[in-house]
Amino acid sequence: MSTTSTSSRPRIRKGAGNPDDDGKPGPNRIICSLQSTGRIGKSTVAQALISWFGFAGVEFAAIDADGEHQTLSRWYPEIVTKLPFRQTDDLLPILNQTGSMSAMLIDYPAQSTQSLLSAFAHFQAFDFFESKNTRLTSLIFASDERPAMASAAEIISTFGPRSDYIIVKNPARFQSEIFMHSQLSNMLAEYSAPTIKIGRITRTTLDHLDAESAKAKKALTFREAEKLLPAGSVIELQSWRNRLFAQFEDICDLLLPAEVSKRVERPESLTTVKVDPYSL
Amino acid sequence: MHERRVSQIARKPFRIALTPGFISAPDSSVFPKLRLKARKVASVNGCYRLLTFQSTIPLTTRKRHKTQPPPGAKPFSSALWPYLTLITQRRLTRATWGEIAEEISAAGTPVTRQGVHVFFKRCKQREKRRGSSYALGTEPANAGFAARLGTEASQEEGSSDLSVQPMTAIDEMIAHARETTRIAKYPKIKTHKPKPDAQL
Repeated sequence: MSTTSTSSRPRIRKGAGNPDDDGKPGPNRIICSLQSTGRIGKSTVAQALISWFGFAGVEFAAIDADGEHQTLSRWYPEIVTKLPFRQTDDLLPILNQTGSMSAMLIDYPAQSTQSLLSAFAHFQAFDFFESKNTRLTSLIFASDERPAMASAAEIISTFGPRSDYIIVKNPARFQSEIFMHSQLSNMLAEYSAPTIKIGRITRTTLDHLDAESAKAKKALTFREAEKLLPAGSVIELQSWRNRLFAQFEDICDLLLPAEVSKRVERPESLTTVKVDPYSL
Repeated sequence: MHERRVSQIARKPFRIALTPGFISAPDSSVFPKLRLKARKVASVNGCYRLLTFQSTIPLTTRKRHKTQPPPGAKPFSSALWPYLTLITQRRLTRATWGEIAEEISAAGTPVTRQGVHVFFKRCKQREKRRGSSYALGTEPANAGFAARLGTEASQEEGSSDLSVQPMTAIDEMIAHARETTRIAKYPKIKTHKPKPDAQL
């Protein structure tokens, strides 16, 4: 289950544009991950966020900047705008729309950290965000892979306190032991970055999902597939989503300008207990 | 007859007798000159040129592999289409291709003078093929671009200077071209307002 701890996390983070305590809405949000590694669950988190925005009734914009895979736009062709990032200029339309909506979700391609960072530097993006009352939330995937750790270090060192960070653990895709014991963990702790954990989905459910997608000749989202999957898989996906929604609600000040009124039900989950037989 | 060749093993020059077998071998240095069968002999004169090794066709001509566009690729469209009216008007005011190219480059589409020339020539040829072309500057008064220019010219009172008169039209065209280019390049970002109980 979630390892998020909002109670221990200070409400005011470092940097400008934090939500005030007097009930005023916080800054608008741009949520993205600029990390260089593929297949770590960037689009899956984006799908979960879109699903959560839909559940909470939050107005948002979603952009698929991954021109090669187009994962997000295949899942949500009506909702997601395709805007492939290839060069510095491609950041312009996003900057032009900054501040006009409360949440903008961007799915960037892998292997583009350096070009994205230079594009941010070229347009002085953070000064612009500040003038538009917008703040960046960077998702940092805590993968032990060297490129992932190197690009995470580049992002954190470049952005510093001007961005907020969320650490994402995805045990189905990668290990996080080395990352969490590295200097990166300390750097992120300085910025009070909370951690969210993506649950594991069994291979059988994913196989069912792939089969249904092939039948429908469309990349089905988890929600769409639920109507077509066996009961066990449906329960698994619902529980996966609820656990993620609960974590998003815990850190919603980093994802949205205002608190969400509609909250997910949090049923008590079974906790596995280990017993030493000699202690009985 | 002997040919001076270099041994591939010893890297030393040596002489080799030019037997028919060597001549017809594809790696022989005289082989391309003797590929008479592969050539079309259009006329007696052509035959003479071939026999005397004066062919105008390069002897080493080969069929080149043409690269195919990837599946699903959009068809080519020139970036100069939004500037067509601008090019036409500037040509009418006797601007050189280089000047026009500079103007278009300054408007945001980098192009060379040859690029503008080839594009404009292609447009005019295309119109001519369709049978609806007029020579530059001879369009009738009621034909699109000429008519527009005419009305704009009549609105401009007392400005007989050709270099001053069409500037507003040019500016408009550049603005229009910029706008259309930008829209074509970047789609408008969609905003989604979920309905109550939306299941995304």
